[in-house]
Amino acid sequence: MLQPIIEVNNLTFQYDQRLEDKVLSDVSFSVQKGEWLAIVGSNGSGKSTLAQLLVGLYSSLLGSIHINGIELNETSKWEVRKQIGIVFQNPDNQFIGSTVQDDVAFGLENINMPYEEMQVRVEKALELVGMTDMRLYDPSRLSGGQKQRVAIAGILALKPSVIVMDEAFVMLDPKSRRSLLNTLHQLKEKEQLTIISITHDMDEAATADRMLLLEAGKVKEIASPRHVFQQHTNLEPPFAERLRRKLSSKGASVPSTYMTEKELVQWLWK
Amino acid sequence: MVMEIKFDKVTADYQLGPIRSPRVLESVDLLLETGSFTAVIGHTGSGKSSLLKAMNGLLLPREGKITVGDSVIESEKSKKAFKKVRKQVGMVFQFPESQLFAETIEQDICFGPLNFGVPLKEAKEIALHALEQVGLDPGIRYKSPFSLSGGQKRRVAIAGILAMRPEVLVLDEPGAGLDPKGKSEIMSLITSWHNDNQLTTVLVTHDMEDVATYAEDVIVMNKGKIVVHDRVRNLFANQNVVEKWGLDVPEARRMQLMIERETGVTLPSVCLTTDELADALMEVGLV
Repeated sequence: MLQPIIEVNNLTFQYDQRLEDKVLSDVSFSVQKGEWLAIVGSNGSGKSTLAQLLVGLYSSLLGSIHINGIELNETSKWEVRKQIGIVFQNPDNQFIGSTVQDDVAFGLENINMPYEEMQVRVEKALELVGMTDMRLYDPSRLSGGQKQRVAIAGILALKPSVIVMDEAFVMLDPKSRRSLLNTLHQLKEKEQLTIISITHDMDEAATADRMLLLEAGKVKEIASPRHVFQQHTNLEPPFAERLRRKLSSKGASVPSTYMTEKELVQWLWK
Repeated sequence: MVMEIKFDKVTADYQLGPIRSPRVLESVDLLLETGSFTAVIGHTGSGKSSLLKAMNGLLLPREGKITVGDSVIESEKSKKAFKKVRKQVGMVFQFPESQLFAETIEQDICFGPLNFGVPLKEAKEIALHALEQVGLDPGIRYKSPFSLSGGQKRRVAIAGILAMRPEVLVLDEPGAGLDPKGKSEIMSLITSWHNDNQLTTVLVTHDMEDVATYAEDVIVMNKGKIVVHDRVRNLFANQNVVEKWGLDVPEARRMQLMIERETGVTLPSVCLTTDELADALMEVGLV
């Protein structure tokens, strides 16, 4: 078995040590290179905290995180951050540049990339998110969805091996969301990009390789989407499964197990 | 109280010093009736948020005028004239929790009413009531708003708007970033507020489920213009229009079209919800 690109062991974290409640307790999981892991759970379950721990924005109370074999700590975090990038939910929290292209270039400037290469990278990243036409705009005056695309471009330009996205698509319209998800799925296939996506969008989560369900700071389940939706009926499933359940509750004779959209349509057709 | 919103050939852009952005609203004509619930959809950057801002004078028209109830918003009017409009039109921005600022939740909610001249004692009563309305325990009112979770913060922010007793409620993606449960709670809250108080409500959203579930009318924006203004069901029934503007349809409708294509069976009605689709499937005997 290959060494996983991310290995999290017994991670425990709390913001205020005077309090009893742990934000995360005893969280362990690993992610393989080129895998897409969706992290789901209700607000306050610790998803964003976990994301920020993964990139070393907080340090854990107990437990360890290894990225590509390197243990994440105060001294290694700069090295680790060359391999892992994060996109936050609200892009307003991360804009630096006065134009879109400057903002995308900011991360590259920080790692002293030669100008020629920087130009190529910025161009490519803007193209991937479909923001090439707006490269000279002021990022603060873009719409919510455009800002999110710029934030994603800023990370793509750095070509990290792992991208952590903390609900990075919430302000995108459905079409742009799908096209960006497609782009990322392609990058994952072509360049073995590892993606950790925190999301409330169950249709997106259903396309992941695995899902991690967090509940009150604990890993409730980490398994294939099929398994997770089957086992945890309190989780709002993708549409096809909702329809299957609705049909079943209305007394229709439908199969009793989880169905993807394709399976349901095929079943109807027969 | 009549709270119609009317746009007359409104054109607007953002001006920052010498820099003029392209027009964000271009010759927009619009009439929203009192008590209507309208969803605004369109691609990112099509002018949805700008349309909302124009409704309470945050974005001034360069040409044309906007009428809200009996107030008129025009470019040459003095800013003071907008005070009334801003009291009447309650605006919930994207990520409203980022505008929380006060030391306690109570102070935060009282801020709006106090600014509009409500005495402190009364403002506190209003705050208490608003907290109940958004489903929070009034006992938390002396806590810092920053100690709350994301979903709770958003409720406090919305309570701050409700406390101003607006007659028009304008919301920019109020559910973004909330989990499905939190989101449906916020949306039901808004719907019951809308119904109980006969508000004129405008909701910007990317989520076609919201459009199908909560709104009666829908506006489609494209490049600063309103290109469709119709009943929700009419819009989604008309596949040509949907495709022309590159819109998404609610999941149930999408699935309906897929099933119709694959099986060759046409369902009797346009289905916008899981319930409707399940019924239609059973009616034609596919299940």
